[in-house]
Amino acid sequence: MNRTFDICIVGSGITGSIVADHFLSKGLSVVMVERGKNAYLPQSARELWHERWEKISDNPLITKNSWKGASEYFDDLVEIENVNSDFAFHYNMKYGLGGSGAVWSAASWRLTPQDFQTKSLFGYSRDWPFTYDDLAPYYDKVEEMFFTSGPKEEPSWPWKNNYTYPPFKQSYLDKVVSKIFAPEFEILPNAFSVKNIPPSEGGCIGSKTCVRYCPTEAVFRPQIHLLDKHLNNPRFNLIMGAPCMKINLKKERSLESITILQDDAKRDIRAKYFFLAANTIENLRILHNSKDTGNGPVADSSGLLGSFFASHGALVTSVITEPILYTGRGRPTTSSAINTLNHGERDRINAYMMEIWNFDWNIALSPIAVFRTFRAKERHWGRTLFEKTREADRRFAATLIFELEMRRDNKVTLSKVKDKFGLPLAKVDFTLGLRDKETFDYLRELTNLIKKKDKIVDIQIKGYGLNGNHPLGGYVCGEDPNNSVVDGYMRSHDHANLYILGGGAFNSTGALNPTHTIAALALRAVNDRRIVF
Amino acid sequence: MPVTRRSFLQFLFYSFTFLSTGCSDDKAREIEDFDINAVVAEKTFSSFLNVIFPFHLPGFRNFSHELHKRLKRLKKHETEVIINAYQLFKEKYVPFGEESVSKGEKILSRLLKDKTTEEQTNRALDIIYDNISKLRGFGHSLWGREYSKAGEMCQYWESYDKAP
Repeated sequence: MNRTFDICIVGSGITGSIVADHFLSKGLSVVMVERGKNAYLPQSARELWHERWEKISDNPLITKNSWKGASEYFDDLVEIENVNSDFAFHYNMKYGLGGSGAVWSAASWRLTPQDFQTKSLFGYSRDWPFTYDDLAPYYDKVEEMFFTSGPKEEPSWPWKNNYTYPPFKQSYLDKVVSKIFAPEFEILPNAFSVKNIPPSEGGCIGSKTCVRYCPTEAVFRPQIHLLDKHLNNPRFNLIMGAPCMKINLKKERSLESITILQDDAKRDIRAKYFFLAANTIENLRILHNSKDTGNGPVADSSGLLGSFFASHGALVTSVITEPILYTGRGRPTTSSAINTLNHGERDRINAYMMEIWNFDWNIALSPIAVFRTFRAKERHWGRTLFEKTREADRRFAATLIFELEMRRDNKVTLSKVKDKFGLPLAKVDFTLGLRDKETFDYLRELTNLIKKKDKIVDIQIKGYGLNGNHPLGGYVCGEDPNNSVVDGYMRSHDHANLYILGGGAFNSTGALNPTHTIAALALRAVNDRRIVF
Repeated sequence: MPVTRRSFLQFLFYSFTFLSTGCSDDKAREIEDFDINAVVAEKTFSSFLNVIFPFHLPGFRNFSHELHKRLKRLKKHETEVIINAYQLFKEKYVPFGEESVSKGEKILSRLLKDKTTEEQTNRALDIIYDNISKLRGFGHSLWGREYSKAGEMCQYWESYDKAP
């Protein structure tokens, strides 16, 4: 095919959908390439998309789908190889329409202003080439786009937001825990990308399933909320089940095309501008697997491609209280300890934040599920099984999420192991730095402090490690081409028509879920004035 | 074992069946060893279940009766597992008034620690707990309130900020 599209997007997740929506709305032609076929969609939505898919299948670029067997792709996990087993990065991403960068439990956070200047303020990680104030207008747009609900007049809230919907009320459990944890932890209502309006009008119904999907679509889903309106647009070309094999350059180093594998045949797709909008690991894999004119990887004249890779640390605790908490009611989470984000010791300890869960992670919501889990996993029986199940009504999960220092030594390269398409897997070489270890120890001590609090019966650390949903860094941003991979608009320093989106462009991790920042960066990128037609 | 009216009638039924239709030795042994109806009727089996789950507590007594019904409907290989574990328990169990449950717990605990009996005892417990968890209204009684289900509206959506 000799057609040249205006925009080529690799990946159909949140960032890819934002890019597609932006340029389709401007009347430009867009081709979107998705490696997977489906993910995280309830049956009803799959059928809906199946029908819509058929409507545009006469387009020669559209792969004939295999939606009826789509369920087999549910476990199409992104595979990676870890170099170090301690704090290994167990990547949770899946390939599929809409991506797997879901807004986890709909939690919708911005980075704090300090997060953009950690190097100059505290001496670690990297400063971003722009400030929080520069990104704030894009955060506003993201919150509107994601129909986010959250507090506006909360004095302790670190940001000034203009949320579309009011905040969810704190659960009874949150209120009890707030009193117990005060004054060290100030537990405030969260912001969520969920419509907080009456269920009859399409709002949240309090189902615990919003991590994966929402029966009322009150939770943001990029493929539904951003792409649906374009599915009958003849300028929108969606190719599914087609991995991007490599990037092809012209002599002057701008991108000419990408090579995809479609129906077991390789084909090139040409465009004026290219947006790598796959997950961070996949973006790095494509770049590493493509050759620049000097035979090194694409976009790597700085030699930093893959470096400064990080994620978030997590310490999951199970807390048992004296009072009954009536667990498992309302949303899975409504509150977090906001005040820990700027704890005043950041020259020594990374930022951290405590999330309060209205049910215990890994032990599901209902008493029956608790009963079954205690039997199956811990082999309890008799009175112990009975008492443990009852105790679950006085138990909640407190997850301590903490920032990790972005260090050059932590990197993503290519593995010798190849996937089913013959592409090398990504190899992750990550170890904790000194600051990270000190933060981890500090948080473990913190659990001892919680244990001594009045009305706390027990607190146990249930698990810890790297957050497998938050790959950050790897193509860090900056003004200096010798010290960064992309600029402040996520454009490659080396290739003028290549934008690399996602968490890989982060210069510091902060301690909060990164999805809103990733989306804000994508909006900033598509508004780069250097993109001209 | 005392001769109850039920077991006497069962004896008459099987005797008549064997005499009229003929029966191999294996079949006769199977019926003798794995008659779940007879086992469930035994008083010691109720004690066995009370050790497995405190059905004697207020609010749970009716579930014991319902569980009996479910166990009678199990497939043969499952009843075999349960009866085998029960027989091991029964060999060592002597009722002792109010301490019967704690005595039973000690016996079951030993069976679960003994390598020769651990596996089959756990298999039996898994089957029984699976059936307990399927009893209608059991979850409600465990927490003493309704609970929300996946994909459905929260039971307490209007008032999740208050104690039920």
